[in-house]
Amino acid sequence: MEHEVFVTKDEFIPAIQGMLTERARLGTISCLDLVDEFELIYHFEPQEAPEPLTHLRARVAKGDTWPSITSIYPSASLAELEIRDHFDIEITGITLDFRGRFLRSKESPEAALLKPTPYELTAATRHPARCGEACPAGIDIPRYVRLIGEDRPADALAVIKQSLPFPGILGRVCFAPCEAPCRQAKQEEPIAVRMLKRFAYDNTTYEEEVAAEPTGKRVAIIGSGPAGLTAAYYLVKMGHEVAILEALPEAGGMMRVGIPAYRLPRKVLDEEIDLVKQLGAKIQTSTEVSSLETLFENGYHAILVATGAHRGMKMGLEGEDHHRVLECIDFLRSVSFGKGPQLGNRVAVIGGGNAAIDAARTALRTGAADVTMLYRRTRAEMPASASEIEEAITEGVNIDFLVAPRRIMIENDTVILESVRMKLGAPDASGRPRPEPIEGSEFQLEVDAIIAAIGQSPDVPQDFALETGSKNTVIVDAETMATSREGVFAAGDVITGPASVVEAVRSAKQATISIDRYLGGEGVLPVPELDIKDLTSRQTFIERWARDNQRVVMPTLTIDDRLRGFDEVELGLTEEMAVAEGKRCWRCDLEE
Amino acid sequence: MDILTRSRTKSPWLLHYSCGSCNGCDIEILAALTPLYDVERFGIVNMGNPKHADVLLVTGPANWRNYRVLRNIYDQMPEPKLVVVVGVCGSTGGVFDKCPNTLGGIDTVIPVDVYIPGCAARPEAIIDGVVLALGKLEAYGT
Amino acid sequence: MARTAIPFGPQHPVFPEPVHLKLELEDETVVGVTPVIGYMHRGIEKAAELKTFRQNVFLIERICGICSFMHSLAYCQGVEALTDVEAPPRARFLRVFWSELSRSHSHLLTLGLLADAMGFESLFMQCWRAREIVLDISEMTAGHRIIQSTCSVGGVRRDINSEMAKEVDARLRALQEMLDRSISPVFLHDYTINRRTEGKGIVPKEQAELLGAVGPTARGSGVTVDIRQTGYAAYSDLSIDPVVETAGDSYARTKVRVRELSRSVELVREVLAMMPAGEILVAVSNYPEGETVSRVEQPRGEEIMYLKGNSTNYLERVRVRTPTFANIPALLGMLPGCELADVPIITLSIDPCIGCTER
Ligand SMILES: Cc1cc2nc3c(=O)[nH]c(=O)nc-3n(C[C@H](O)[C@H](O)[C@H](O)COP(=O)(O)OP(=O)(O)OC[C@H]3O[C@@H](n4cnc5c(N)ncnc54)[C@H](O)[C@@H]3O)c2cc1C
Ligand code: SF4
Ligand code: SF4
Repeated sequence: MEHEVFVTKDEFIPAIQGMLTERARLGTISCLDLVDEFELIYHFEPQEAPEPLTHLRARVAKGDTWPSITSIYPSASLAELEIRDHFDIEITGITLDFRGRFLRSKESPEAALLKPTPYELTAATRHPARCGEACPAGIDIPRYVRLIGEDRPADALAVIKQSLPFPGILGRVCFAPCEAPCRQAKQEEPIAVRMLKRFAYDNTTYEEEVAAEPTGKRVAIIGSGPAGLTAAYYLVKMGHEVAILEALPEAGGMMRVGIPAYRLPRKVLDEEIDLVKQLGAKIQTSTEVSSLETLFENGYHAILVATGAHRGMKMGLEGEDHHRVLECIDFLRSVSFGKGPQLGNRVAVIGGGNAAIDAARTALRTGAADVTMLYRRTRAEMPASASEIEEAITEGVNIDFLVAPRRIMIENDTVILESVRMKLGAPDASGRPRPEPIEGSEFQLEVDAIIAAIGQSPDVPQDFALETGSKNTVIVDAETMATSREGVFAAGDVITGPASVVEAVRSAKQATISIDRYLGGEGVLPVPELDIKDLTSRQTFIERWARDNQRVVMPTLTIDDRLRGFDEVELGLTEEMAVAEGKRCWRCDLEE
Repeated sequence: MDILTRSRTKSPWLLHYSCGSCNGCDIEILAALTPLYDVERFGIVNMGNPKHADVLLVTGPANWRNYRVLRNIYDQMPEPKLVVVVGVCGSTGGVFDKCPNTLGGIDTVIPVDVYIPGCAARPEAIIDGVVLALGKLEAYGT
Repeated sequence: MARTAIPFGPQHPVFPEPVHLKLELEDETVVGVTPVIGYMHRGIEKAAELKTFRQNVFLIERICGICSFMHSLAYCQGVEALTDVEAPPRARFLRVFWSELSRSHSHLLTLGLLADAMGFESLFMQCWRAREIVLDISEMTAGHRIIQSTCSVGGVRRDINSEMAKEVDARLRALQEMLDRSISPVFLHDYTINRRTEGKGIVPKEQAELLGAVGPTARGSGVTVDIRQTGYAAYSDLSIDPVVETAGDSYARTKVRVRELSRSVELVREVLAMMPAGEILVAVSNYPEGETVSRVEQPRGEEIMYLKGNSTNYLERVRVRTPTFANIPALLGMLPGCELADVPIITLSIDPCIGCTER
């Protein structure tokens, strides 16, 4: 081309200034990709219009930076932005404010004109999705659901592991508070977030990061339920020495002695408890702690009370103390340890929570043929989760609604339960309608055993000398989980009353942070960095418009197989099902 | 036919959105509104507001930047709504087939009811397509 | 004073295309503006490297459907330079013919849209009615109303016979009359047009030069540029005097277009009268080699096309600088200080073509 001038980086700016003094007009800038370097061509038009152009040419090595000429020729801004975006040349100092007059900000991202929408969205462009916000443990749900949809379960597991130590357990027993707010729940088809978690755990492995340098600090954790185990998992990874003290002969807390094996196979529970052990936590079973002083004297620097809520509440009925009237937790515990009592054929379960359902289903599995649940209100008010109720009914549990027990009478070997029918009245303090007895509707039920499952409360030894509140829960600071005693923290059911595993994980994570701070650490949970891109291909993004929107149905055992023993009822998703389900997610986190 | 369907089919309101088109079809859509073709005689009115529109006329292929805008517009339109794609490139990607920033036809982003071929589509074809779409609108009402 | 941010577009009733401006207002006055573009970006420059240089003509033509012919003209001229081919004289005159036809339909289109943005419906309809005459001529001579697809490397693909030429001439005379009788006087003397555009969106001459404005936007500010003066195609045989106004406001730019429009119609008739006989297309036997810059004057201003060939069927690089792209900095210079209600008109006064800008 005629009138070409080749310049080096040093000559470049003076040459541009020279063009300005000649009052040449900038035409545009072209860029050529010469494999190992770029060539920039600045096309200038001399003052007199019909003259041929002058081309200023400069070579830029790849990875090198190049100065912008916008402070000399403001009109270059668009072309420079375009070249920067399309060719990846770092052009520095593009001033979009046209000498401070026209545009508001420098390097404003909006003015990145013609930028092709990035195929990989960065974390900065993500938004909190409803599901993720609802997860007590703060799992990045949309991200892992998406990864499963892209058939990358190992990455998905790594994402889950960033917020949660026990995906295997939670993938089975979590009440999934994330599913209710899912945007697809409006059509009653929320993403099966929990099942996907289980899929990720069952089908891949996760490499744990090794613990940090020892800090020389010792922490005692009382109780080996999810709260205690979570705290132990993080604390050992932070380098503290951790001992879990457990009263029962086996670790796991309510997950071992409450949740029945047909929902949480003991193999999975053991695997995840073993993980905590492998990381270096000591678990001493059959060690009941009755005094905190002794622990401090034994050289522990901090204590976490995670003793759960194991004391069954009393119904306050006549005849309640008979040996054929069992307390739900006691019953489940003895079944868990293989010492279940002979119940007989007909069993009545009193209560409407998840524990009651578990007791009823367990009773079926231990030989009872006729299991009836009695609940004061109607199905709509039942605290147990809908799917659990459904499962119980499929397995053959009868549920008698609007019935309250009055009296228990024992005659020879039969137990007679006298109950009264109820009707719903005005809402009470909890917002649910208050049941009122219908006088004269008393009736009697002959059974062989009764299981009372009307709730549990924490049972903290008096000697711990901790301030307690309503229903015997330990009072803690909502943020730090610190109790009224210095160096003593609490987490799990013991502070909330009976709740859930994932709530226990949440409070335990909070407690861990403050224990670490208390011991002089930074209070940062040891979460590995992940190098996972948020959007891997255009196709995945388009696919969501081209699929049907049916929630997966978890394959289950047949009823006969279920009642034969304690085999796990849910069989897990196949890869095909999981991927399809993951694709169903709308990726609310990527929307504006 | 109830009054709503009747007014919808007798006087459908259009909304025009240009994705990555070359403008060819866009100006032909405008040409259809002007004296020679004058679609207003069919009661067709061009609206600027998605919330008032019954028929969305889209030109050009969807791309990585505008598909969200397009979907947004589509979502804002009240039911029953129809999408009419004008031009080959909006129908399939057309001449912009190998362009790196395009996603292909509009139907990769939103459901499409009528495809009007032509590059650029002639105003007669556009009118035809819209009238064809009206048949669908009518079917909604019965 | 508290500032308000108003998003303008991307879907806006005034524009057929997605323009998105983030306006910052103090009361009703615009104090800041950030353009957000890319909604129509297709990646034509890249795609042009993936198609053969002959196929590219059709792709390049669809950078924009309004000045489509001129895009392909710039491209073909560039490739001809790289392949050492010269278009025959008749082809060069035919190129001017379709170029000026495009220019007149484009100017009528813009003027109509401008009138529409002011709410001057009848004027809008008049402009577009007149435009149909041009489109009919285009259809008659090229086979298509707006995308002519007549330009080709080495010449043009269609010829005009004398009968057709007569018909075209007759229709153009009718158009000329329409322009002289109704359209031009309204634009040049009407009170409404004057009040809505005069003094709105001023770019002084120095600023227009510095911001690299082109075409009617530059000429409305008194910059005498018109690439037709370089004499590409057959322009060397025609007399081109750039139409220049000095006020630099929207009114000046509108006046430039109105006067250019009349001149374009005249030019088409002149070309028809002067058309030499002979070949319209020569064969291209070699592959493009080397680099070149090809420039044409489009309705919106100068288009620069940089082409690089490497002796293969594919071009190594196609870089297109379209006129609206060059006018955007000038637009950003015009908007601050104006009233919110004037934003659509000022924006339309540069005749933005987003399809071009974003390619
Ligand atoms: C029948 C049943 C079913 C359930 N199903 C689910 C479910 O499906 N999903 C779900 O999310 N949640 C479920 N839950 C609730 C969940 O199990 C509990 O919320 C959770 O286990 C609480 O964890 P934690 O660590 O606070 O206490 P726990 O798990 O109760 O653990 C406390 C541990 O501390 C030990 N301990 C107590 N006192 C002492 C002491 N003084 N010294 C030493 N050790 C002591 C206890 O023996 C126990 O092992 C269920 C609960 C029950 C009862
Ligand atoms: S659709 Fe996906 S991202 Fe949205 S709430 Fe449901 S699971 Fe979360
Ligand atoms: S179909 Fe053809 S004329 Fe219509 S917008 Fe697409 S490229 Fe342009």
